[in-house]
Amino acid sequence: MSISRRDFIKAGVAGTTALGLTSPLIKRKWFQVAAKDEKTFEEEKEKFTYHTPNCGGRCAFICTVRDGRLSLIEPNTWADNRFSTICLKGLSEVERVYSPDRLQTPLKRVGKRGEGKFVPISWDEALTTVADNLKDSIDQHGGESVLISLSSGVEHDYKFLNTLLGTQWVCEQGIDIGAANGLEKCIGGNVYAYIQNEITDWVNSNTVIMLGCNLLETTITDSKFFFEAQEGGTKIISVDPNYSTTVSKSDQWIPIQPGTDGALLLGMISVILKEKDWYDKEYLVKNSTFPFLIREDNQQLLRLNGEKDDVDKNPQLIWDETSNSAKPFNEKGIKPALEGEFTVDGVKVKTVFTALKENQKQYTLKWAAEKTDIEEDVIYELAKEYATGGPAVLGWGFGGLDKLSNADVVGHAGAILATLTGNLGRIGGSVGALTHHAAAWNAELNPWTFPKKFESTPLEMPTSDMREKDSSVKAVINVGNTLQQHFANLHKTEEWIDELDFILTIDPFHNTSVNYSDIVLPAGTAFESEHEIVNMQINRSHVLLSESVIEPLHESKSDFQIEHELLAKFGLDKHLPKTPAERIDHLLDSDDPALDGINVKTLKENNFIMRLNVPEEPYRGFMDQVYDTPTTKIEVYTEDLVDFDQALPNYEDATEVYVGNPLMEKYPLQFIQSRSRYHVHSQFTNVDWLTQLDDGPRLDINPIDAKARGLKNGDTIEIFNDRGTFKGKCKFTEAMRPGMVRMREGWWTEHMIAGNLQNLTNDTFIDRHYKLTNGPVIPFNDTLVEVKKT
Amino acid sequence: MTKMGMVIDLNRCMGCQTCVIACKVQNNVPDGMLWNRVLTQGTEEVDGVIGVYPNLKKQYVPVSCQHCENAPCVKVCPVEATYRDENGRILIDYDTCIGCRYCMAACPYNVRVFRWEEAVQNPNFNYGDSRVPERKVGIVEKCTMCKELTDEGKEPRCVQTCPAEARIFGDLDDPGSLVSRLVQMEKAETLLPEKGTEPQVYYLGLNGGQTHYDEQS
Repeated sequence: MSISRRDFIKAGVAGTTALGLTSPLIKRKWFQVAAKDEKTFEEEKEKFTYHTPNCGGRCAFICTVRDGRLSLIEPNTWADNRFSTICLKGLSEVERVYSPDRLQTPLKRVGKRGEGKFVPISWDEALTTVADNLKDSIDQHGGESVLISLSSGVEHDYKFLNTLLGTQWVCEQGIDIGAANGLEKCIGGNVYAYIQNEITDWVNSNTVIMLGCNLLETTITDSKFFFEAQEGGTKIISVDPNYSTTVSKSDQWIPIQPGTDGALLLGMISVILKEKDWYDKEYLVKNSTFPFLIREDNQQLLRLNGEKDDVDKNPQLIWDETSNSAKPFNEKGIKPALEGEFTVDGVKVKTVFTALKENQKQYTLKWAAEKTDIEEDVIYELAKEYATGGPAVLGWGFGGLDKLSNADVVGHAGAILATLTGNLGRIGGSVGALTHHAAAWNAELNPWTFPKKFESTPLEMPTSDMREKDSSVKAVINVGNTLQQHFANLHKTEEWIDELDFILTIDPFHNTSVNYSDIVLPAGTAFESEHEIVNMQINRSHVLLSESVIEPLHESKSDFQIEHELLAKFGLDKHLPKTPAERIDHLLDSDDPALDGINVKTLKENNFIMRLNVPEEPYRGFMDQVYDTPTTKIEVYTEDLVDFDQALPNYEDATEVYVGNPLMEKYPLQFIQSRSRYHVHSQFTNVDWLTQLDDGPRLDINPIDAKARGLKNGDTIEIFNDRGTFKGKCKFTEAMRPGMVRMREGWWTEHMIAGNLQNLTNDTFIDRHYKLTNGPVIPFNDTLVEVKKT
Repeated sequence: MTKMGMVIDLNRCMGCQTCVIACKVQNNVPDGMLWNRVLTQGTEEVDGVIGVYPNLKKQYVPVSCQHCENAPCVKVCPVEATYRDENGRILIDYDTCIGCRYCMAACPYNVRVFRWEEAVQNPNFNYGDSRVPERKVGIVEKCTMCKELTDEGKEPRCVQTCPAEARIFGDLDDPGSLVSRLVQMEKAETLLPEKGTEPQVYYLGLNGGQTHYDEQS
């Protein structure tokens, strides 16, 4: 098909239609026609800030402010100019800041929770009501009765309030930690188990394998490094059930049965173990716990003194081939056996590596091919490229496999693959989550501290469990839109909401969570503050500072100010920094040499961005092969999970989405939510500039599934399961794998025809998850539904 | 002479729409109009794919004024409002334009937009670069290759902001410029070459308008 003139005309017409008709917000009275003859003298100023939504990157901005209004945003220049980036969301802040959805005054609820009926009240009445309610709760039930629940896009974390009142605090518990649960226990590191090497290191990789990762939409400003690597010869392979934008730009697409990524990786392990020169024995002996010995009697590792203790006093043993005896793994001069079965003091043992080989016998290539719906040859070639085509990156996103209950198996199998092939602590290597620009040089800040009597309460249980288990929480401070976004199965959340004594929401926008709240405080956006300096972050190896771009709009106040004024009601504001600048200078006044010479004054002198004093090369983790684990080795065997048969990774179906689930007779389709280039979670869903392109909430469905249900493209449909229902329009697309339906994440209830996406989502936790490092993962995408025409 | 031009690498374009929004905000383009759009080859949808699962292809093609050397819009304009300036850009004198829309009919790329009515401005003030002239109802407008920036030796906003660095701006009359070298060495192509318009916007990876998918089938 060649491009004809008609193509441009057709596309233009379609585009025009989309612009005019599908954006209900356009019709609001709020929009006045631009005043004519406004071209009097207009004062223009340049202001510096950076973008705060949780895509991970902190694009730095130069903002043009004209007549006090944010009029234009362009990228600021970083010391390392490759990071001088922006995307469509940053540019759209010019609209978003002035959104009709802004909360303009403090509000008090007058209807039922969820009904959305409020009356405006004064700041003094609002803050007094909040303080009275919190005091009552804390006096009666202690600080643990208050939960501060923070959305990921909120820059100011309300940790001062948390510590001074002794409350619980949480930011997206149970989210983005699924695969990390499997990987982090092997190597340590951060809670989300991001890849060890910065993406700028991809040019040194020969192969990059991405599992369910739409990097080119979710992490847009890293795209240049993706293409730079690809043009330099790095082969990029996308494993994904659906044809995403990133798939369309990859060198190879491997479509996969959803939820079976673990089976693919286990199949690859089996292939690699069969080929003796595809794994690096010396590396395994030196850097991993593969030579450690597993006791046959209890499946625990053999130790010097039997009992588990700390590694120095009671080290695990290996079989020393020099002396033909068991020796502590950390003794000098030993030659550990990688494979074999031995008897030590009457106890039969075998090496972890031998156990892995035995355990993998069940995971044949044929088995993996059947599970994943990928041909055996393709899996074999993938394993070959990964093992012999290194250095190689193996990574995943957070929007697909991570939101199924078997995600930890993927992380564990991924860790073993990277270990077998020596792709950890290697230039051009890495394993982990690929998004969020997270792998970079960092620095230790000097934390703001309080007198010892002030202490926050650790989170007592996963927040999802607070809805059903006996929890201390009576009052919730929701900063952002956590009631919609941080729980699956909204109806269950609503029951909990009804039982709570008090709910406060702080946010710039009237999002879905606002409607459940008793008191609502209008926060300024990240562009607005009463204070000259607003915030600071370390991102992509630089320190970024932000200043107030415009005065707080309407009656809003900055988060810093809200926290201050709230704590003043408790007489505790004397413990706080007086201004954000005082806090930032304190944080930067640290012993870390990477921060030498970097403070508010020097940042202002350097266009609000300075590079950390760190080496010029890309950041790469664990290059010394010293891991963040008790043994400092890659701990491939998990003793804590012996009872769950997951000491070595074993395949497990997801809780709902698996072939053969009897529930599929009733609900045959998998429902997933995914991020797109247009939104960051539930942020930007209310921006018309973006909605004109995105076309609003639509359920993407393959024409095969749609036609089987008698649907026409654009029909209004109901999506439902036993947990709930919502209504929306359907959109046919061949990009969806038959059997899967998808909606972009984060639409607020008011954007929908009826209901909310979270009415349907799976909130099942399984016992094993409570044993994992970061606790249970919320299996948002492990959700079966049916679709019908309304 | 200077001949401002652009090369867009479709191998890198990932349809992120950043250039679309960058153009809109820089040039104070109101709701319901766009000077720059990202089309998807072979479909009428934003982000459409061609083929049947799993044999699929997707090729984004950003399209705005092609600043043609042999511009049909210039020829048909009865009042000479549309003209080619000394830097090789096709521009519109908004004070002269009478809104006859002959140029829109003549343009094979459908990149000119007409202001039918008083604009819905969202937010309700003139955003963008204050040097960009206001346009009144009843006239035609389009991409100026960011005249206000390129006059100062800066890049157009779509080029400056492209996250994938898929857009390259420069002087096609300077044989040493990157755009000239890409045009000569990298099989750069133009849209609808059979129309003889001689665009100054070139594309890499256009494959003569043939997608990879079609080559396979």
